[in-house]
Parts: sequence; structure tokens; C-alpha cells
Amino acid sequence: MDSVFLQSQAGGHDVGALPGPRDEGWRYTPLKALGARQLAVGDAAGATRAVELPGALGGFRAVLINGVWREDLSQLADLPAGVRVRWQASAAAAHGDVDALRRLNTLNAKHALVVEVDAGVVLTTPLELIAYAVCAQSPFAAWSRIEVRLGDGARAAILLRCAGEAFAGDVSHLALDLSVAPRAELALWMLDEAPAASTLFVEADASVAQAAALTVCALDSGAAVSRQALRVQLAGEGAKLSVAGAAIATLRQHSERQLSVRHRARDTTSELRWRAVAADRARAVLGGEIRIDVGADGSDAALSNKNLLLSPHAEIDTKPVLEIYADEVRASHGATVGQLDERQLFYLRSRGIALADARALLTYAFCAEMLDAIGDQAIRAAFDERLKARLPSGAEPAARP
Amino acid sequence: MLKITNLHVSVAGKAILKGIDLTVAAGEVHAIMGPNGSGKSTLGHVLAGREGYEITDGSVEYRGEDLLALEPEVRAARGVFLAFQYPVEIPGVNNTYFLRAALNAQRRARGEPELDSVEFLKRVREKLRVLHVADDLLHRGVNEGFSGGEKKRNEIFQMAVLEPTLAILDETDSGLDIDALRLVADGVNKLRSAERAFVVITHYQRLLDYIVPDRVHVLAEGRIVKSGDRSLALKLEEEGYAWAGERRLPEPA
Repeated sequence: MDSVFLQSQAGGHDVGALPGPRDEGWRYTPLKALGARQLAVGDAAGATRAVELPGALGGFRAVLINGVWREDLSQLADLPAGVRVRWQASAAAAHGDVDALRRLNTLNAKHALVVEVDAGVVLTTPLELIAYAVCAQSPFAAWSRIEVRLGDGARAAILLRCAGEAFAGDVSHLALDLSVAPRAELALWMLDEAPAASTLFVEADASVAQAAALTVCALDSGAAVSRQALRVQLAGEGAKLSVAGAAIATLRQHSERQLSVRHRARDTTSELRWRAVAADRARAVLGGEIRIDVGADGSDAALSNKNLLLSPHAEIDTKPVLEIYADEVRASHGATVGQLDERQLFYLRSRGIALADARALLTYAFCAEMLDAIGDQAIRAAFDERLKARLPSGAEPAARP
Repeated sequence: MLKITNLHVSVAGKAILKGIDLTVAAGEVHAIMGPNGSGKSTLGHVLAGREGYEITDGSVEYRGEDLLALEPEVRAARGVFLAFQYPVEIPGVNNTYFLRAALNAQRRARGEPELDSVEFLKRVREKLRVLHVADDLLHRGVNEGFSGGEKKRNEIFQMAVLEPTLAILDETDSGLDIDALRLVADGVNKLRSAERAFVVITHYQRLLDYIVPDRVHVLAEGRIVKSGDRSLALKLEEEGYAWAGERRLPEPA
């Protein structure tokens, strides 16, 4: 363990080496700079820091500041019966195939924010979970865990915001565990407003049971380096997964999204739709993986990835993988990389919209289509606002041949 | 209002327009007819400012300005409008949002105050009613999933909201059934005024039964080979373009 970062975080434990270019799923992630950083483990003062949070978007709010639970800032007083949000000692993560960062999370996140919705309970207003980064005396890595468990037939919408003060330049690693019981429906909306100088890792694991559904909408847009993974097991017959999201990467951002779904039972359905925009010298990565197990007949899986390359110096990497071990299935994947459509640009300009605005409008529309599944108007508006704020300014399309 | 002089245009080195002369005064409706491939759509695109066309000779003056020197959005702000033959679909851009952004961009460019959403919607509703356009068109993406007829009607609806000074209609009648054709013609006729001019590009004279032109020009192989009044269109209908073609001017030496 020769990494300064690992030494600073592992407290003498052996967590293995940081993943690198030879590890599938990490081959694009630039971790060299991270490996050289000496960081505090968490922010001990996080529990008492004065914080000015952005306005709440859900009916209820649970707040983590630098990885530490802040009941004083949360709004959970009127949670309906059968819905609980608690900060409790975390059980050891039980996932195979983990990497050094996830081992560090297990080691350092002593507590987890646990959300439980009992069987049959419907949470009618969205619950906002906000992981907020605040500047501390010395740079730190925040390790957070969130667990969400929906009981049989329960329904809930959860907004997960990763955000922070403008100049917070720290490292956040969030492990998210989602468990959706039979017939339950969970909507997860992930709004990434991470500070521009920060590094963000999100590792989300979900298990969806028989006839249950998980719907995810995500906008990746914030950190200098971000890698957000979502792994879903469709574990019960008729389980459904829908993922739609967009990533905007500008300047020198590295924005990476890993999506994987494993169909483990019959008649399961997954639809993964991802769009990325890369401008300036940024890089956007999508790793998309569909696996259909033996016996998961009747499965239907689709992965689509569309990308806009807005600068000759930007980079898009897209890597779809299909592994199919059952016969009676439907599976498809497709990926495209292109530029803004000249015909659409001309149409807008011919109506009076200036070139830069036409470009911004088309880029906005390209991403905004992915957010239509967000059923809450105020939350959808917040995604829109973030999206508009992050549109590349004056991005030139790559030079024409 | 519009004065096209000796306009020569090439696409990828191939000459398409070979010396167009055309003068359109305010208040007039000019029809440009011609067979496929004669350069009709090229003329429309060049006037609106589409890239990919090389002006090899000639000039276009619009209200005293060199039109060809202006960016497409500036032309729009000056009052030039092209109703596209094949309007492009723009999924994810709401029709209302788009139209308001366009109108306000034009107004800003002209130094006029922008319309707020209440004023804008009032204007839009008026036009919808007048043009018999369905309300739900407003809530959809621009041309997204529209039928051919809906796209054409949307073009005319946009024209009605933007109130251009010079409107160029590029085969707006193609693919329309007779009812849709009447609606489109109705939309144009309601906008006709002494300050506004129209260039109606069409393959068939049918549209001209409803939009009665002041002048008719026949375009063939990149040139206007014949001009006349409305009766020219009727004659073309009877005799076909070959008739006009035979009267083509001789090649200049």
C-alpha cells in the first residue's frame, strides 16, 4: 500500500491497492492525483458546522454534512407512520467484488443513514437526502452510507442530492444500498450539484424483488472527477428497472457513469438510457452492462447511449457489454456519438435564435429528455435549473471535415 | 422590398441558380413555380441564410440592406421568414418555449420590449383560433411526431406569431390534402397586407387557387424563364413545364 491517500484513510488496515487502468470498470478513471493526496478521515467538526443549505426540494429532508448526520438541519417531524429515517451503526457491507475505495467506505463509515418504508405504506411527498460538502480546516475524505428499504407494496420517491459549498475541494464517497421488496415501487432521482473542485464517488447497489420496480433519473454534472456506479439485481420474477440520465462535462471534468443490471429471474425488464455531453477538454464515460442469468427467460433488456461531442478536444468513451446466458430473451444496445444537428441549428436560427443560444437550447433538450420521468414539478424544475446552469457556454462544435 | 440581381449559386461546385433576377414590392405575392430540381428550394434556403450554398455572383437587397451578408438570425429579426418544405423535428424543445424564445430574440434584436408569458400566450391563442390549429400542438416538442400536414400548419402558425415582413413558403402545399391546403392558404391570406410580401414556391398551381398571386415566375434549370400574371400559372397547369421550357432564354454567349 504505497499510496499516500490509502495510508491516510486505512488506519493500518490492508484494503488493497487503488483500482487502476487494468481493472475493468476503472480503466478510464483518473485516480493518480487522488492516490497522492494526504487527507483527513472525515470531518470531525461536521456535526457542529454552521451551514447554509440550499432550499429543500422534497416534503421531507435528511441532511449529511461532510458525511455526518445533522438532525438539527433535517426536516423529518411529520413523517407518516411506517416511514423511518435513522442514523445508526452500519452493518458491514455484504457485497462481493469490492475495490479499495469501497473497503475504505466499509471501514470508515461507522454509521449509515437508514430509510425504511414499511409494507404497504405510500410516501406521497418526496424525501430529500442531501449529502452536503462544507469547507473544513484541512482537506478530508468523507465516507457516507445510505440505506433505503421499501417493504412489500410500499411506494416512495427519493431525491438524492450531492452538493456543497462552491470551493469545497474534498473527496466524497457515498455507498448507497437500495432494497425494493415485492410489489414495491421506488423512484430515485439523483441530482449531482457537487462543487467543481471536488471528487465524487457514488456506489449504488440495488436489489429489486418480484413484481417490484425501480425507476432512476440522474443528472451528473458537478465534480472535477466523478464516478457514479449503479448496480441493480432484478432478483424476482417480473421485476422492473428503468434508468434515464444525462451527464454534462465541461472544462477538464471527468464524468463517469457505470450502469449494470443483472437479470436473475424470469420476465424481468430493464431499460437503460444514458446521454452525455462533453465540451472543452472534458471526458464523459459510460460503462453499461447487461447480464441475463441462466433461467431468466422472458427477460427484456435495452441499453441506449447517445453522446454529444461539442469540442475537438473533448472525449467520449462508451462501453456497452451484454452477457446473455438465457435463450428466450430480448436484449439490445446501441451507442452513438455525434455533434449538434446542423439542420436543427439552422431551423432555430431561421426563427431568430442566435447561434450560441440555439446550441445551448439543443444541448439542453438533448439532456432534458432524460428527465421526463421525474414526477414532481418542483424537483423537475431544480434539475432543469441545474442543467441550464451547466450548459457549456459558447461551445464550438468539432471542426467540420 | 426584395431585389434579387443576377444571383448565381453553387452547391459543392455545381451551379444550381444561374442568374436570378426578381423584384418583390411590399404588399405583393409572388409565386415561383418550376419542375423538380429547377432550384426553387435553393432559392428559399439562400434567402434564409442556410450554410452550404456558395454565392458565385449577384446580389440580394432586402429593405436597402445586403441580405446575404446577414446571419440567419439577423435576417429573421429583420422580418425574413422561411416556411420549410421539410421542417425538422426537435425533440425535447417545447413548441411554446421555442416560439417565445424566437419571438423575444427577434424583438430584442429590434429594440422592442420582450413579451412576458401572459402577453405571449394571448397572442398565441389568437393565432391558434384564427388558424384552427389544435391547442395540444403547443405542448409538444417542435414538430416532434407531427404528421406532414401538422408540420406544415405549424410553419404557418409560427409565421402568424412571428409576423414577418417577407415570408418565403417553400412548397408548403406539398403533401397537404385539400382541407389542410385551405387552412394554410387561409393563414397566408389573413396575413396579407400592404407592408408584407410573400414568395410562394410551389410545384403545382393548386395552391394558387387559394393564394392568388400578383406575379408568377417559372424557374427552370436555375433561371426564371417566364414571368407573368396569374394566368401564367393556369397555362402551366394545362400545358406542363415543357411549354415554359421551350421559351427559355438562349444561353448567354
